[in-house]
Amino acid sequence: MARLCNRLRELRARYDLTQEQLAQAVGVTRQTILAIEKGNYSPSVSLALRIAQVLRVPVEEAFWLEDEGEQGGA
Amino acid sequence: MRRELYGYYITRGLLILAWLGLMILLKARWEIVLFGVLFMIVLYLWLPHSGRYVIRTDKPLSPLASDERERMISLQAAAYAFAILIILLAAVVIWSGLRGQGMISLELVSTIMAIGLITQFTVSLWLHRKT
Repeated sequence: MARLCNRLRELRARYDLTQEQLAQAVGVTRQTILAIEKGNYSPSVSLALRIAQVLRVPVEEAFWLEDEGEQGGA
Repeated sequence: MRRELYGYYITRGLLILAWLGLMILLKARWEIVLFGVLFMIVLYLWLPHSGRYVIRTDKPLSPLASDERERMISLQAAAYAFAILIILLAAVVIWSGLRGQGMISLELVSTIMAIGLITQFTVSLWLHRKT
């Protein structure tokens, strides 16, 4: 079973964005951004694309699938 | 107070006044009226800051909107509550049938409805913590 991983925290830091600012930019609550960053919530395709657009990266750079137990990035 | 929420506070204030007027017309007990008014004031002040809603500036009178995670939580909580409600109602109907009772008391149905509401609230809280 693969799980959805992300590097939102790192990408936010690149643009000095807070969770609140990113949330406002993509039209969700700060709790949703927090839940995505912690890996507790998998965003819809539409939200993932909006986040990638705001962070100016391809969506696969912000989100990727990882096999359970595997460590590391994309 | 945030400027974009002025419309929200005004409409909610009017709702509270309407409820207050209705309660006065119905000659409700003053303790219930006071509790209701205080509850609504606290609720309406808290909701925009609860983190559960996105504030939409294009809808000044109803600026609070759920995002996709909040909608997912609400749907799941409603599904759990509905399942509990159906199971309990089925159990009561079968139990009444076995006992040869043709009618189910209104109190029992009210209790089942209350259990459904409590389930919805509890599951919603649990999902907010979990996701």
